[in-house]
Amino acid sequence: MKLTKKKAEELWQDKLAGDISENDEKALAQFLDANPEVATELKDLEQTWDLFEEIERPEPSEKMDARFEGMMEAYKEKQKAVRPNVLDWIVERMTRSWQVGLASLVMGLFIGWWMLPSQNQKEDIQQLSSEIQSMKEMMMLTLIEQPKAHERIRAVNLAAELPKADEKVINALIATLNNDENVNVRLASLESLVRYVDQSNVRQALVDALTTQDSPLVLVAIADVLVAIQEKSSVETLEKLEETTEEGFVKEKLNESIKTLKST
Amino acid sequence: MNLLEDHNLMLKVKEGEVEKLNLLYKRYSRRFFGFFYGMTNDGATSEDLVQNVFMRILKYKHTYKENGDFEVWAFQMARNVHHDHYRKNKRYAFQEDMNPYEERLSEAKNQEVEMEKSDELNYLKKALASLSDEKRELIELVRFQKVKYAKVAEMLGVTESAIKVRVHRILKELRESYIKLDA
Repeated sequence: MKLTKKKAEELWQDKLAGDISENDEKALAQFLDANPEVATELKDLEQTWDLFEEIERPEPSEKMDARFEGMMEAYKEKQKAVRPNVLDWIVERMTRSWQVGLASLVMGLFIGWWMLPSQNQKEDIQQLSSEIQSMKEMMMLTLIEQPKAHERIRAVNLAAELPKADEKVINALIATLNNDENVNVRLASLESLVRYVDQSNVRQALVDALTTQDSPLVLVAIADVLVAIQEKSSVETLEKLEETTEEGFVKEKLNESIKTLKST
Repeated sequence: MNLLEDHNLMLKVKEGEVEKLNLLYKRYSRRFFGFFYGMTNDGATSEDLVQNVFMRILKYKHTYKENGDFEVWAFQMARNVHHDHYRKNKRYAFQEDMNPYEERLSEAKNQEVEMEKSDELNYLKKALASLSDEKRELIELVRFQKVKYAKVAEMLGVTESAIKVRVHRILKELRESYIKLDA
């Protein structure tokens, strides 16, 4: 067989990879004998090829195997979960023909009707939730009497959680806003009261509270709420307060609130 | 039919006997690791990528063909995993740039140790690192992972003879560039 240089190079690659037939190897040797310059070139390249053998590669860490095992475990677990079960079989049956589909629909409706909560159960649930509501109210009213400020704050926050507050709760909040010795508790009760500003007695209580407050912080907070709810009836009280107060920043703040209320 | 052949094991995995993958992992994980290490020069990343390959094998086991070749199929997957990683991870190119720098640092640190190593080998490593990804991948598969030309040809969708010509050219390029470094 007459070899070309290109073919010889290819055979030589086979030889390097250790994958050459006896005949090909002979033909290659003959070609190289006849073409010494190609032989030198290929010998040089062979040296490069062999040098690769000496390049060391690190080993992976043990973690790699552990991760693989973990992955396999997780995969198997997942397979278990999705393995077809009786339910799948039923669903497949149901969807196969319309008669079975219709029958299962009727059955489903029947079961649904059967499981529907009865009137008695509904009443029970209603009663239960109203009991929870009154328990929360009671807890709130008890807590609000506690000597420790943080407990009173809890009470006030509890009031904010009640879906609807009754008069007792609102009165307790107003009383706290007016009388609690701790400024933080007063601020918290103001925050809770904001939820009920749609009730006129709450709005009035806020206006009245202006006259009883001695803390500038609470005063300013109440003024903010009054502006936010556009309580124009408070203007007079605010003006009086502005005249009497000695705190500069409170005066300023009240003046601002009055202006805003008058202008809107 | 040898039941423990790669191909038959993979067919079992495809049928749902996933524990058969354990044996394939034993046979191939080190080779994949070597392949990824050659491509990224980063051990931790290579371990992640090996994990990705086996995850994909499980995920795409249904695509394995009855007349398939596991080595070709799995290395094709490894190549894809590497390409995806390269695409997603922009920092990777930067890391590659940093490698020669790190090498120099370590050379300065362990000069004595480095001296013992043949210069030629170091130049070859540098020449290898400066190859394009495509070329390095080819050398990695053929030379380091000893995947047969015919199989690499199948992966790349070209003829076996074209692969041999390419490898030959790359070898020449490598030799020229490390001789230049030597001089």
